Amino acid sequence: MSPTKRFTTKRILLGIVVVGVIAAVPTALDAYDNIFNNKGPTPTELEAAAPKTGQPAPAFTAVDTRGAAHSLDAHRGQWVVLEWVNHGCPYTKKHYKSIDGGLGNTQMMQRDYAKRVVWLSVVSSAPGRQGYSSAEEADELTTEKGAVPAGLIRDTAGTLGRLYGARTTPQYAIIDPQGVLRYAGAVDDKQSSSVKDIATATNYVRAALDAGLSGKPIAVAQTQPYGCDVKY
Amino acid sequence: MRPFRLAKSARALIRTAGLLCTGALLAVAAASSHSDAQSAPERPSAIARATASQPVEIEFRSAARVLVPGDSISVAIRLRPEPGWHTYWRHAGDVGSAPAVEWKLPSEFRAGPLRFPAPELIAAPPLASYGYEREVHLMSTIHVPQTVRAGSMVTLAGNVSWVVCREECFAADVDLALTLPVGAKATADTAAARAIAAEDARVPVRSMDWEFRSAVDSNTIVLRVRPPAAAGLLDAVDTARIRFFADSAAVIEHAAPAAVRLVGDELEFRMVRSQYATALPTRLTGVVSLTGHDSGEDRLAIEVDAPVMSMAQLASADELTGTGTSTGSGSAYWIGLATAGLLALLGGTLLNLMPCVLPVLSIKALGVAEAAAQDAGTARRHALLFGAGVLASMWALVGVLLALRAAGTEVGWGYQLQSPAMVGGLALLVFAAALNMAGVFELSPTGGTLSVAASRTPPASEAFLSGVLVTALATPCSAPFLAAAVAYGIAGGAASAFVVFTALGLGLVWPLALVAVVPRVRAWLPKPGAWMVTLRQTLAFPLLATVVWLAWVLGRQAGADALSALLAALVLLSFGLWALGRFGTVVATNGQRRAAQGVAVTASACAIALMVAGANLAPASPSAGATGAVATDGTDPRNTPTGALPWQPYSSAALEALRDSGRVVLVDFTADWCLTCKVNERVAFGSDAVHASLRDHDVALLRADWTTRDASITRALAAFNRNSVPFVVLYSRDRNAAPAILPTLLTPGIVTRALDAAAAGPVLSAAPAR
Repeated sequence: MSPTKRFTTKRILLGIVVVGVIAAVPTALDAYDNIFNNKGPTPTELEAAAPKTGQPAPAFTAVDTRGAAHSLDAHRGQWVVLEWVNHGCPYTKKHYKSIDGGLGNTQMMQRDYAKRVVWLSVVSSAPGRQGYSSAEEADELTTEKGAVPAGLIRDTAGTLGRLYGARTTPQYAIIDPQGVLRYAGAVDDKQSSSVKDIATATNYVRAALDAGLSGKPIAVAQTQPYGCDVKY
Repeated sequence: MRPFRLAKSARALIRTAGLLCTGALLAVAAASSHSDAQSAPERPSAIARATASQPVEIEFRSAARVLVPGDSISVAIRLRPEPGWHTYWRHAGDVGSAPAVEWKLPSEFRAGPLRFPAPELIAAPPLASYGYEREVHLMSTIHVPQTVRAGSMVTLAGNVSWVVCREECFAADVDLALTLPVGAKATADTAAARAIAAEDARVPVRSMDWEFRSAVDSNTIVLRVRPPAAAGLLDAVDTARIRFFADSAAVIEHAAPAAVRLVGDELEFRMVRSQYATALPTRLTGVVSLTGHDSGEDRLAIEVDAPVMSMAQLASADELTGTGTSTGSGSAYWIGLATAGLLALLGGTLLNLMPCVLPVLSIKALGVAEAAAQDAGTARRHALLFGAGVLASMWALVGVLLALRAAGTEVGWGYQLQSPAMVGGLALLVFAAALNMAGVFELSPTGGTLSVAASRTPPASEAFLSGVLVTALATPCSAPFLAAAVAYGIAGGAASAFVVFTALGLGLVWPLALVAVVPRVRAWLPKPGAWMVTLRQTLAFPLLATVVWLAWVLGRQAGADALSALLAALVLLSFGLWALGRFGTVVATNGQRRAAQGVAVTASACAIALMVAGANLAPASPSAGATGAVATDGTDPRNTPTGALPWQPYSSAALEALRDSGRVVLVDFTADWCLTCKVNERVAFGSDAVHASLRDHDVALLRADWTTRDASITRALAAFNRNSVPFVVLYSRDRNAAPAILPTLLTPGIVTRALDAAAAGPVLSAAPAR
């Protein structure tokens, strides 16, 4: 075998090896990326992120238990309050429970702002889960508690809840007459189940509505809600 | 609702009060409280049993059976949920709330705050809480005043409120009371004392020996935990069960898993910031829980109180401390380092195939093979020296890098190519190597560094120097291939940088060493012959192409004048080397040879001086250099090959402004000396599909040009734990979403998919189903 011929064979073999190694390069790069790209956790597994305060509130159209349709467009020009409730949840109960024999915290707010805001209570419980009820049962519960929302929306598919990133009951979203989300989050700053704490808590919803209705900036516009998880 | 089973509660009281010298007295007291309770149910007992509507048993327990005036005793609230139910920690997380007690104590008794043992994570995707599925004791220290009279009975009462959840939640509150005699001599309730002591051992401890720091950016919050130096704790810890429990709302997303890793001798938690976060926190507080490998009971919980800084501050603090003090410990650290080392070895091996290295190295290999055929021992020593040259220059490279970083200069891998003079010097070196391979000159009359025609083995110093040369030639290529491993090595401090770069050097060397040492490998190589001269001369051309590329980089860095100076220097150098080749050979007279050598040295020196002077002609600082031109006249000449994409120069202010405007923002960290970056720009950002997608999604484009040194870009990269390019990151419209990091090598498909994902925001209209 002549050196030239031998060289040719070897060269072909070498060429194959080289091509193989070059083809392996992207794989190696991927391996680097997987092992060393410390990307950290991403919130993609979480529920869709809540809409931001200061931005246009997500538009929706929903029909309440009495058949009246509510949409942000139709309520343009009015302040709208969305309140997530679950009447089996102790934190909802805390804020509906009678204080000193009178009305509960939420019923008082509903009455105090009744003339100036559209108060919509939202039940996002799925069928078969806690808080779910028929329209009639829901209305009975509302009457029984002395609650006076402008409407109660049975969001049985959880669409409205997910649209607003509702995680807990109670949870609030406050939308101004221009359709901008102005407050999102907890009812107050005491993460507790005890009615006694209402007296000493800072009520974020009242603070936001009082400031917003008198044309002042809302000091605390976004808080982490507390309560039971929404029973989607 | 007072769900007491009174007979049971009396039994429990008797059990609690039990067998002490005042037992009889206490039994009477308990019995009377029992009978009182029957007539007046609001009279509290020490225990509230679980009922159908209230699935947790609650009890007051005291570690002491006798109250001694002036003493402090531990009283616990025992919460025992039915199976499947759980109670909550001092911070409940996304749902639930912490139990609370409102003490009703006789005058001058004082109660301390509740002590909560470290909790468990209770996941309920997409939410998560912190609490206990087990029976738990929440302790409080109660101070007994001096004034209390011995022999009297004292009732410690309180209203306990709690929430217990499974899928649904129940909340209630109950008045509990514990009546104890006052005596002179302390007597422990053994069972209660033991339970309380065991629980106290699970309460997180506050320790000055542990160090904490934290950093935030818009999406991420990082916690660093440094255990006491001598503890060696992290070795014994099950890394899969390391947890951080934040103790306030709106700080982290409790349900998002934290990425936990070892950075030097610190534990790092990388967590998603809460979507409810508004202002930047000034302190990060909570509890870190470490669990031993062997059993779940071997658990250590430490209170965390960390000052919060910016990611850039953390990165620069790392640079300062990382160099000298990194003494990694823990198996995770070693596994990470070993992996980085292996990948560096692989990367170094691949470097052999890079266009800037392959020509020189293949000729080298053939030369060594030839030499080995004649004298195996010398060839082995030669290969060894070559390896030493490679390793020494690798260490020098990393040493300079670490020294620069320690001195506070913001540099990263590839720094050696950020200086125009370095690029020019490298161009001259590669050009000289090309001329040598093309046969224009031999470095020594008896066979040069790169000679294959040498019939004798080259001297030792040349073997070493050829190792240095190969390393120098490899550096422009190494950045894209070794980005991650190198970044890991540098971030880990001196020790890990040493390991990674040594592995890199070994990867570069081993194929040649194999040729020198193993005869069978040599048999595989083609036999030397005249064809080798042809091959060698042919391989000069890839090297010349490398020169063109380096010249282009220099031109981009320092302008046309500097480029012209480099080209003139190349001419000067080639003249000197030609003179050496023509008159410096063995056949020339001694005088001729000396003159030729003199000319060659003078010409080379002049060439280097000319090139350096040229490189310094134009300012190399990015503010006034190429990127400055982009900023002022708004037309980036680099756009021409990739079409008219509206790139804007990167700055953190520009990024924040664009993100505030609610647009998708793509940031391309790039450098002209980075070949992979250039490939990405042509292949991915040059494609029509990507152009269309960028237009459709109204993507703002920022280009962070790292061609010349730029501290702000180095910091921006460091915030992602990087210090190399290419690096492309995509911010979605959502201010709170973590940015997507694109792979190193991009295709149009990867980019368009990432753009689609980033642009997909929340649905803006929905009609809830009825």
